[in-house]
Amino acid sequence: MAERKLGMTVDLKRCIGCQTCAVACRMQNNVPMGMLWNRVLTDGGEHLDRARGTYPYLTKSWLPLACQHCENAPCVKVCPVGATYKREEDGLVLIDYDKCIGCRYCMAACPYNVRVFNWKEPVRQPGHDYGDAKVPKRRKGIVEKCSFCVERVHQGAEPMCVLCCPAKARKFGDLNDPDSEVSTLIRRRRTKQLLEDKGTRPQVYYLL
Amino acid sequence: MRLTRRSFIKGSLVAGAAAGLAGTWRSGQKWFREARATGSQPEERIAYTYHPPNCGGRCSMKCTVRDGRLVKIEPNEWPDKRFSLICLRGLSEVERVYSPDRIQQPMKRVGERGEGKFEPVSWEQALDDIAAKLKELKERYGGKAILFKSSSGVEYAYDDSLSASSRFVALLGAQGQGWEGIDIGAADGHNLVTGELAFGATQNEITDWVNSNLIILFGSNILETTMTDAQFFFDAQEAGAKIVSVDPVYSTTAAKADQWIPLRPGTDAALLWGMINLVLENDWYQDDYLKKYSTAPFLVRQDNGKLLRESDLAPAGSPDKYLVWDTVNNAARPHDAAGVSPALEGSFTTDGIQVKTVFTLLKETARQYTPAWAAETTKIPEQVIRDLTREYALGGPAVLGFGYAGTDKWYHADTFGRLAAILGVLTGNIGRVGGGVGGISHHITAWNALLAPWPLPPQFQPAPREIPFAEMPFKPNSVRAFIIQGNILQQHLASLDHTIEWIKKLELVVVIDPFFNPSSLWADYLLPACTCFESEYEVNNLQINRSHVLLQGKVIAPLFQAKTDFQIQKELAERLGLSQYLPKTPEELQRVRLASGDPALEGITVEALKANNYVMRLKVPEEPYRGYRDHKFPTPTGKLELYHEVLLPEGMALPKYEEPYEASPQNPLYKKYPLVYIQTKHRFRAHSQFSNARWLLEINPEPVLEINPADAEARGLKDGDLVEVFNDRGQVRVRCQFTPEMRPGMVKISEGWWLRYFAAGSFQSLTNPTLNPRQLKEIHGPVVPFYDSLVEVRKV
Repeated sequence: MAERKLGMTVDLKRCIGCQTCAVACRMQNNVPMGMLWNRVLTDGGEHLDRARGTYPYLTKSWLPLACQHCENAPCVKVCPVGATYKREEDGLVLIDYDKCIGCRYCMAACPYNVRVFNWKEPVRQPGHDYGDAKVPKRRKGIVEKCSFCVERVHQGAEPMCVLCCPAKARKFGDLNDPDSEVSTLIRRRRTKQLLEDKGTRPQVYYLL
Repeated sequence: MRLTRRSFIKGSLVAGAAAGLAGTWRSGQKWFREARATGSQPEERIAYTYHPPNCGGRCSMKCTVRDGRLVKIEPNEWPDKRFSLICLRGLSEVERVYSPDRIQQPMKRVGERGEGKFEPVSWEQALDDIAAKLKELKERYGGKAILFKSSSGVEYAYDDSLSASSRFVALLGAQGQGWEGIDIGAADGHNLVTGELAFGATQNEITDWVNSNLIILFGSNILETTMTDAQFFFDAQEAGAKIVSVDPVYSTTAAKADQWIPLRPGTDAALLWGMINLVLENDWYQDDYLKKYSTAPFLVRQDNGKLLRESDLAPAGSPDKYLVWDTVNNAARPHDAAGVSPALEGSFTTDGIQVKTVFTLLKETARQYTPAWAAETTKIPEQVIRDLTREYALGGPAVLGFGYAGTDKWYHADTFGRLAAILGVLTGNIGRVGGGVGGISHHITAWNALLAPWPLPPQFQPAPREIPFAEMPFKPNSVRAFIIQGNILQQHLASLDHTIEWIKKLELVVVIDPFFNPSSLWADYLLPACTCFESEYEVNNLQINRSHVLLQGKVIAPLFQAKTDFQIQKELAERLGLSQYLPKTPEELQRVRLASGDPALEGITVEALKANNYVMRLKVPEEPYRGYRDHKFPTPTGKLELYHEVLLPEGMALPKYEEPYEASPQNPLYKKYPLVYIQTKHRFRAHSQFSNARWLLEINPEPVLEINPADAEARGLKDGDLVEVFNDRGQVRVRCQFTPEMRPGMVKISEGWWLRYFAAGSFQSLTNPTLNPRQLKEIHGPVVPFYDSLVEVRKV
């Protein structure tokens, strides 16, 4: 068992679909235009932010979605070159961009559709690199995804989406520590892990 | 939620349509180069600023600069950590600062106004020309020929009626226009009751919501307009408060509230009357509170409708001493006389004058507004109105909050504000822990302190305002030159075609902004302003927000040829021979402002701010701000006033219900234009700011007409069709989006989208510019009834 198992809780009651986490992630991780590591899906109608139902009988909520850092990660199993790996010491699922050969088996294997691929040379607006200088640059032909802001977490900070969430819907911490805020929330609240039947055992818990 | 792998893939298409929609980026300004930063520093460094664009949030930002470029923005660490916040708009600045839409150098119009043809000129040339023209106009017509107006996102506003820092209007003796026309309609009426100004403090700080049992939000989508207050919304819910959203639209806030009460648009005042009726008929009012703190026991003469004064009964009596019926002596006596025990209700005769108490008249007026009538008018089920009223009146403390659009942008918005305040007074919810009545968006109330104005010699005075700004396109006035900071022309006036007609008649139009915003199309001169990240100076603006003092430092040097608004003013003033009256640096100005002597500013200096991450908490109590705990109000009587003599000629000394001016089925125009047209605020923009932020356009790429599927199908429309929305004022072409959140009979285009995102026209081409004349008597003047507009939709 890993020493630490870092994970996240996302309180769906608090999530207001504001997309701040999506933009914070783009900025911190120098994510190119046309792709996002972290997206906010609408659980409602056909379009972004649209409700389900007929007026006035309507429902609408949001589902922020990024890499689930699964304990039993299908992407790790299918990577032919070991570029995607599960880190022992803290349970993060990471990509070694130097090893990635762009075969995209991982994208097919991931049931959450959270990996993105650089089909062309990354375009960044503004015309310079932004975000954390320690985040490795990616080139054309490389898969990328949420790293739980490993560069920040390494220094004891929380991921940028957690820091920036204005509704305080996100918490981050060690799932192996029973006293951590995330463990406490998971104990106290009704929770859901996405696609539990797939056996992926996500380290992201949604609070209902 | 039913989750399948397929739903993720489908969902991802909804959320991340991003790349495919990049084609909607229609940039007409071919002469602009892709933005590039200038200057270069090898090291990474941290700098601090705060975000001025008007969501009101004023988030303090910790910025990372690498090689001279802004690369990262994080929420700054505030002493009160709950306010270490940011939202998507603040973060999007990393891209927007370097936008291809930046005005890179001063420009001068070469084509007709509105053609958008400009040529670059030097700063020297531009400022020489502008100064010469201003001088000429001032000499010939006086300062009133020059009008200044600044968008709400401009921190160093030349129209300084808000912050009294730039003083440009006073210095030139010009006309400024403050907040007239926008966000002040409900406040006009609320002010009659409470004496408070717009954005005033009869509402408690939102951090006090945890102490409330019930929070009723009228027409407020706070979870989209003020995302940085979202935590307090949920903290209150978790603490047990029930939050109710009263809104015709199923907004984000309605979706997160405990109860959503949909109603017919523009009828919020009818709901309030129904509630007031129930409170009065069921004796759910606070008898003691009304007697002590309100004018409810004051006496009204039945012969002329005026309040009974001491001077009415004795020639030597004071005309300012209002009388009540003293139950001890059974006689009319001054309300503040010792030992008086006023009757709340009753009809009396004194010295041959028949009088009734204000409370009795209110009760008589309220009688017609039965819950059944309110239900019929608002289309809210009667039982819902009854339950809501009982909870509000008996289950307090309770908040009654409203936004600055939903109930405000209507012809009769003042009546809504009056009734909201009156309901709060009847139930004792003003000046109460966990209570409050008033505006609630952008953390409106918090602890505050007085900042000193920059002093000018007494000869420098603004010209009196001739007419409300919103009337200028329609009525003769003296204005010949218009200096605009921001995007006034698109945002501050309804019916864009009328605005353009007016603007074409002016002799000089100057637009100062970082971006080629829609107003700049009609400019004679375009001056490139800095964003809040750039400056010539180490210290820039200063604000008090959320009980803290925030300082703006320099993050990066000015990009391109941009100058700060401070610097542009300084260089213009030099040419007008006035610079000796202005501060030499922004730092000098901020030192003066901080030295006001207000005890809450003790120990807060420029040096101290620099040493404390550019943000310090005022010296104020820890607890949430709650206004008027002492129940002494800034009204003429010092009490909460329920009866308004000033509106006697209009027959509105007590408010009456009125249908929306245009957007009512009772209007004959409704047959031709049967859809109510609203333009609400949106999380992706603060008014028109961030319209061009490419990080946000990826998620929300273009304007849409939000229309209920039933209304759309009745017009033969399919989801995504290009449609024309039109009325007698104009038209706009835009794609429609089937939106079940929209009440049938209503359509919406969220406000602020720049002109270039529409296939034709603008969201503002359709809006109603008619002003309510009675509001000329009210504190902030008439509100522009943008929402009180009818339209029809057809397929293109």
